[in-house]
Amino acid sequence: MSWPAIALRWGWEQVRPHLDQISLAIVVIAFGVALAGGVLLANGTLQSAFQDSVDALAGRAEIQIGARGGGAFEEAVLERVRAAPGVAFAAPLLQGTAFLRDAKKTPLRILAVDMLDDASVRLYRATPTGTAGIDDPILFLSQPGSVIVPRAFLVRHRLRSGDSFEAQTAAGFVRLTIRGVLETDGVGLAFAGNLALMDLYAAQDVLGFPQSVTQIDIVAREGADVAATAQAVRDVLPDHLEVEEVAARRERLASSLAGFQLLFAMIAASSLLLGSLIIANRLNTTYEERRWEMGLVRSLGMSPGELIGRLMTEALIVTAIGVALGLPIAIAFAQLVVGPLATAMTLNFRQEVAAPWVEPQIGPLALAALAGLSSGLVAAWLPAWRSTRSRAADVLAKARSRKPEPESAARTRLRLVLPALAAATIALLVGIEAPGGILGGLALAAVGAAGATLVQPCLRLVSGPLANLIGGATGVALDDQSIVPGRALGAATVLMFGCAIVVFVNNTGRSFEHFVVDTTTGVRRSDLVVDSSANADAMGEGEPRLSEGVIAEVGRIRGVDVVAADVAASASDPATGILAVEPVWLRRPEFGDWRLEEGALPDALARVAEGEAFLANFPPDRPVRVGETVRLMTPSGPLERPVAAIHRASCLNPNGDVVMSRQLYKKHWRDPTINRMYVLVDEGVPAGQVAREIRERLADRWGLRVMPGEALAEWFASSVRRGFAIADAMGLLALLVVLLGTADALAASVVERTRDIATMRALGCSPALLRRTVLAQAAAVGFVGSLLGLMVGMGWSVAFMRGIVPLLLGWNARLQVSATVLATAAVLGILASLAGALYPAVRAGRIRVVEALRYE
Amino acid sequence: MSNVIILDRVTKKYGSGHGATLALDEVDLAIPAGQFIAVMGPSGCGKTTLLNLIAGLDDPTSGHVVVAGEDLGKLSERARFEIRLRHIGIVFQSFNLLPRVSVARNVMWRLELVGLRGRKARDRTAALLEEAGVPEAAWDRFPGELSGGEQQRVGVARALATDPRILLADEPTGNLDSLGAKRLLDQLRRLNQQRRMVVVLVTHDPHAGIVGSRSIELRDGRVIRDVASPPREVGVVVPFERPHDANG
Repeated sequence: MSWPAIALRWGWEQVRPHLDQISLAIVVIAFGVALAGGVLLANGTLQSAFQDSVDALAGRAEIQIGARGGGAFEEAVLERVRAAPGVAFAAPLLQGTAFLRDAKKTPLRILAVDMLDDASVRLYRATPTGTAGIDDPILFLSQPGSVIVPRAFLVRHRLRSGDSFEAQTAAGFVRLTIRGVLETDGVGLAFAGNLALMDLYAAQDVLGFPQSVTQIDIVAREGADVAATAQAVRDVLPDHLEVEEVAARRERLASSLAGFQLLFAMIAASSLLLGSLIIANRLNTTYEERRWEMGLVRSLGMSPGELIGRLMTEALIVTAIGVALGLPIAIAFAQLVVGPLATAMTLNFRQEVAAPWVEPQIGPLALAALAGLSSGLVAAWLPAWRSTRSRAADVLAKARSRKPEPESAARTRLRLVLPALAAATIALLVGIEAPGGILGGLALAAVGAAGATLVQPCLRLVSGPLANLIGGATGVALDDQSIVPGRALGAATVLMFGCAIVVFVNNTGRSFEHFVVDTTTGVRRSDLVVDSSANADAMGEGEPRLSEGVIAEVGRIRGVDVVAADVAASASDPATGILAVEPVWLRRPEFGDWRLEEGALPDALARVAEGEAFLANFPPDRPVRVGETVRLMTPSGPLERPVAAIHRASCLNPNGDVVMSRQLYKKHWRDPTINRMYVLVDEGVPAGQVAREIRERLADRWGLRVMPGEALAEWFASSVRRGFAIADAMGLLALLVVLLGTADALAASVVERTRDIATMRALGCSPALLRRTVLAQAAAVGFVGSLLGLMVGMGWSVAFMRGIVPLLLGWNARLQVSATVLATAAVLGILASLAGALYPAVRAGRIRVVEALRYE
Repeated sequence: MSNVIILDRVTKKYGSGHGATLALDEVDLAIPAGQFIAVMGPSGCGKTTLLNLIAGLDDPTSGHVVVAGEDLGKLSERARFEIRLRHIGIVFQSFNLLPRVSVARNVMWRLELVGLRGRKARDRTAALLEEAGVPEAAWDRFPGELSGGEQQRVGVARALATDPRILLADEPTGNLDSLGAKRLLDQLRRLNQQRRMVVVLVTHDPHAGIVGSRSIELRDGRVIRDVASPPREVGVVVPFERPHDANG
């Protein structure tokens, strides 16, 4: 038999008799791996789904043309592109979004290509089997609502080829008929299959972009240099169109995706850390309990190296069982969190990201498994290594004597906290806004380190006096915990990080929510707000649009005084958020306050309404003064206007926003759609009556949603909250981790103190009293962990909002703290800690005295 | 003289069927107030089982154990704890002090269990430790920092904390040197005489066995000898240590 086989067999023989005892360790390992693996897998799945969509849409194209800053541009440039040197063929594409008329208002990405154009066919309709099956090309083209959909779409919505379905567009509801099916490859992979391929000219009508396209895809001639071809195309096109090699575009998207994914990576890393902490704590406990046994086998002739090797094998088996159980749970857990993650991504990219079905991926699962295995091995290695450092006889003698740690060691540890605290304080108070976010990052790390180092002194600080106050058996248990925090330390640390995560995520979510609502609703006061009924989330540019024709129809409703519309978009070079509003909005003060800063031109709003000037809201690193000219690159070319005033009433783009007249926007962006209408009703007319009439006469045809003006703030707030929905999942996770961590630590503590507990019972301590002692220990752990968690969470929030957000987003959002959230986090932390103590408490009460003392 | 402890045809079996071990076999024993009884016998004869039954830590397979007038078999778990707390003190061979709390706390927690708090509890703890001969300098130290003899004296102080009528000592000299053993046995005898406390001393040590006013010998779970003898002074003897006895 080979050495590994012998080692494995030995390990298994050691593990098998203790399976019941190590079952908790296995459960904990499984949970730790599931936690880390789940987040990593969900993260990876979304990343690949997003990348698949990008790749699938690029198809065979090597070069892509788009309007700088997005949006539609004139179709007429196609001929110039085709004539450019090196171009083999170029195909126009129009993208837009419609929404299914189902309960979820499922977004349907419309991809419109020229079905009669040879280039388009070669680019988009080629599949491994030849062509995407259109049953009847003539019928397809003659009927404007014809679409080709992926097979996955048919399956999901229980449709068949030839069936019709309704979709909501800017122009209201349209009926689309399935006349072909895309197999699930190529384009069919994009947008998780929620897409419909249409004829370009039909789609231009349906989406409301006549003679416009959003993209031109190019394949270079065989042998032609792609870069040279791109340059040749650039030379024949106006500046407002961007020519980009697909490879470079992929890289750019990947890098912007990486920035966003950093947040999730941080969540995954903290999950991994928590998972590893739990695993290490549990296995360390298991092996610490067996130090006597280790001393024994050493005294019987086993070398230190051999002992470490065998224990490692044993730990490997235990951890491997946990990992094997944890991986399937990780997949299920990933499925649970992929939805909130997709929502957060959707809101961040302002583009619908469908939550895909999670499929196992080697990378994330292997990483989680590796983390689990290595944590287990490290945890087992420490006690084994310790037991091999001294003489076997000493190990035997000391294994059962749990002498308290020398005071000097505790003091040394306490001294370590001082530099960490000092660094955190300096970073937070002196220069957190330093460029590059270094100090912000440093403050985050320092606050976490300071919190972790403070756990032990705080446990001593709390448990000692509490022991004196309570006295009796409970006092003994608390005193014990204050002198040798041991396991309680692990539980309190886990609880601290759990609480800190909950507080941090809630604080940042609340701060963003407050910032967005405060900024955006100050200038959006009205009696009624009307937008698309498909509008699920406030995303600005990415929201479902309405055709501008609806403005006049709403204006004709009896009782309506005035209707103002807005549309959010963006410009490029540099990236700038655009808020285009109806001139009347700028002229009527009832719509709210633009928060113009001092120095604004006296007729600033009127000049903007006339299309002669902009309002600007730029971050400090892009300073602009009243009177200076701002140049924007639009889909129709450059647009320059002077700044009439600096305002603080929008937060569309971290690089800065510009407010302009909607007429100016419509002309330069070639976009006649709007996001939303704000309605003022005639004096004395009840808003509810007008809302009813709008619903009755227009809502069904246009697909409108009508809400009272005061509901807008809540809707914006709810959108931000949905963006932070992951926070709820994180909170739940943190509590679960805390529950397991406390249960594990206290169970270990009970096992460790079996003899003490048996002695106390023999000397007259009742099981009920012993149960209370364990609960008192848990309460002390809960109190310390929660309190430190609140402090660390607050520290992280300050560091993030003051040191990192201004650099990442350019926003100076004030930190908003909710006393309710802090109190809830603390109470839940303590409750989770107590709940985790229930099983160990019962176990403590059930220890069989005679056996425990006889064992000794 | 009324009996503080009565064992009436007490049998204790561990396990069942062919593998069953008979630890005590129909033992009858009556111990009146103020008696110092030494229970002797070889390993496995049932000594510790006898002590566990008197302490109410274990239940007999058959028969009755009456302590302080109460039939333990008829008492609730809670009532048994009360009896153990208020009427019985136990001294263990391996001291069983709580290793991570101070010497004083090791004694005080039992006082707090019976409702003595604050200064009263501290004063009473000091008196008990002083009476047991634990030097004041050791009161705030951890048990692991004390010698075996000192630790056992702390164990005695803890056992006496609630002023019990019965003191059960399970091989209390097993981990002590001969001088320590002599001092402890003297202390037990003094307690027995001064407080009229029943002392049940389980021991292997024939030298320890002579300190009691009565001596019984167990073999294979039966009492084979039960003699009253005048207590004698214990001399300093060569250390007599044996491995711990699992069942008695």
